[in-house]
Amino acid sequence: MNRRFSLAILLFIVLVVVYSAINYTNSYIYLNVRLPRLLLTILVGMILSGTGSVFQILLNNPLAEPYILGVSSGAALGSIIAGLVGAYIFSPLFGFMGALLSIVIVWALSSRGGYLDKTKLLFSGIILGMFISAIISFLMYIFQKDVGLILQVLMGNLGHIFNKTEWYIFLFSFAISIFFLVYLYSQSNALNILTTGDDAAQSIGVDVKKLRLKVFIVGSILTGVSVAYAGIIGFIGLIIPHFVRLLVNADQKKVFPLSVIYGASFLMLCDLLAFNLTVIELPVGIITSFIGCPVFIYLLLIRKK
Amino acid sequence: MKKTFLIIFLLSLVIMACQQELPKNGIVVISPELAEIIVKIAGDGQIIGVTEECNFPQILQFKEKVGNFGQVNLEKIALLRPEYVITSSLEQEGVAKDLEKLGIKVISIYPKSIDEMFAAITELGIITKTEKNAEKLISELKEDIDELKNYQPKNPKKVFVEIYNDPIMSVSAESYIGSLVELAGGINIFPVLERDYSRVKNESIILANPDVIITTYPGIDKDTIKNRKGWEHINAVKNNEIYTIEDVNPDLIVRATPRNIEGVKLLRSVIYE
Repeated sequence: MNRRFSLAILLFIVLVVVYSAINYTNSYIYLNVRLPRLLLTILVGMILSGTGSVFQILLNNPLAEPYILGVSSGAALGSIIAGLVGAYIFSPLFGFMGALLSIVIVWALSSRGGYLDKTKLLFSGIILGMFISAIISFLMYIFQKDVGLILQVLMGNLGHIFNKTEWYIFLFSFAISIFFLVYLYSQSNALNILTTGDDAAQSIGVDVKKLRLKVFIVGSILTGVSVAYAGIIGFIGLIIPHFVRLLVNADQKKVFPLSVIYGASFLMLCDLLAFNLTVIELPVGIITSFIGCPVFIYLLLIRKK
Repeated sequence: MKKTFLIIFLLSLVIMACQQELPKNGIVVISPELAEIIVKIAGDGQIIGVTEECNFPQILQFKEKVGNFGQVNLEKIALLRPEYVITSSLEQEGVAKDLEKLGIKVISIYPKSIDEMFAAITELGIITKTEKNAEKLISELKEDIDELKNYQPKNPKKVFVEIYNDPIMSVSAESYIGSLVELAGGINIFPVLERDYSRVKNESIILANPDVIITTYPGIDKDTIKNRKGWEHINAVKNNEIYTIEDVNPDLIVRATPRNIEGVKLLRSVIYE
């Protein structure tokens, strides 16, 4: 148990050092450009894999990921609209507003009839996501000149250029996000109980509806922050929690923190590759899937044996 | 029986009459830069259709619009029965193929350098049967360019051209804008890029420390650039040498047209004066 954690943290530290040292130029550029990017990468990695692990339990669905409840599409639409109207600096803010709006819609749809049911939650999320994707496709078709902007939101981009005020807002969001992640960790026991089924959990004294609502909202806010700054980076939220569950047994108290650490490490690795693999910087979302899929299939295969 | 034959005969006459080819004349131009060149050498008389972006010279605004640069209305073009449709090949290759399927003659011209712009003028001269005007324009432009080339700045300045901000993109020396910046006497901080128009790294820009920043897209202002984290020590930011589309009309440097001479002069004035 402790060995697993030490290993994960060691890997994390090694990657932070490599990420910082590669093509190091001077301390000024490091502090003003590289470090912000590093912090953003770590934050997004932590949020996506942590939230993914929680949503998989929340929805009792191994295919759940942070983007499944439509939040990412809402955030992406917000960012895209900000870009299209030329309000580039407000892009993260718009993204976050988009996320909040979709949270409210999904929540309102799924809690009709009084009971926040996981199937309804999943359905409303997916349908809203599809609807918003259609709007994004429409915008892409109409505003062909801005396809670059739209694509970088849809494919993920960790190279966000901060201005000074934005940077302080980001640091604030960073702190809040860490707080929310700790909160999600604190719900691990209840979530473990939830895996035995809604009725069983209810009978032990877990307020299932309240738990689901709180975790859904906190997880969605976190996802909104990540999409607002980095666009949609697929796969991490799905694969890292499963990867961790292959390492340790499915105890959320271990799965969550390990997911968070491995998520940050994996995204650092992917961004390193996106940045340095070819002369042109690649969208990081492509790299995460390129590496993630084969590795995950490999893990599944060796586990069968 | 006779009646039936008569009806069939009459019907086929009508159909044949409909199929008869109407005469084709005039040109539809869906690329703004080529429209500019045509008007310059042949006037607007032969142009029967343009796209929304064809805004110079102003006379083009009164022409029939067949859509915009990325989305043209094929039916509208077919109805106009043009002799030629002139397209740019960058994003219009698909459109060109579709038009050819409709039996419309398509000419694709996409000048990527000043020399290719001269070739485009010659070709358009032949198409519009105004070869002499084309030749004259080319020799005038060549003179202007030779004159521009004579300029030797005392303290050459490093220039960063930003064509998009998210992701941040610039141009290489091989690109059209890049060659104009060079002609204006500026030193492009990204002479070599994987593609002519390519993403660049924020770190590389700060490290290159450009003396002048020129943006070519709408929606960005000087303060946004000045406030970017880590940009405060860039010379261009310290000396307030940031120019947006309000200072340099992008049409003068993005499009390959005779107006590039004006564009180069403008670039030179913002870089060195």
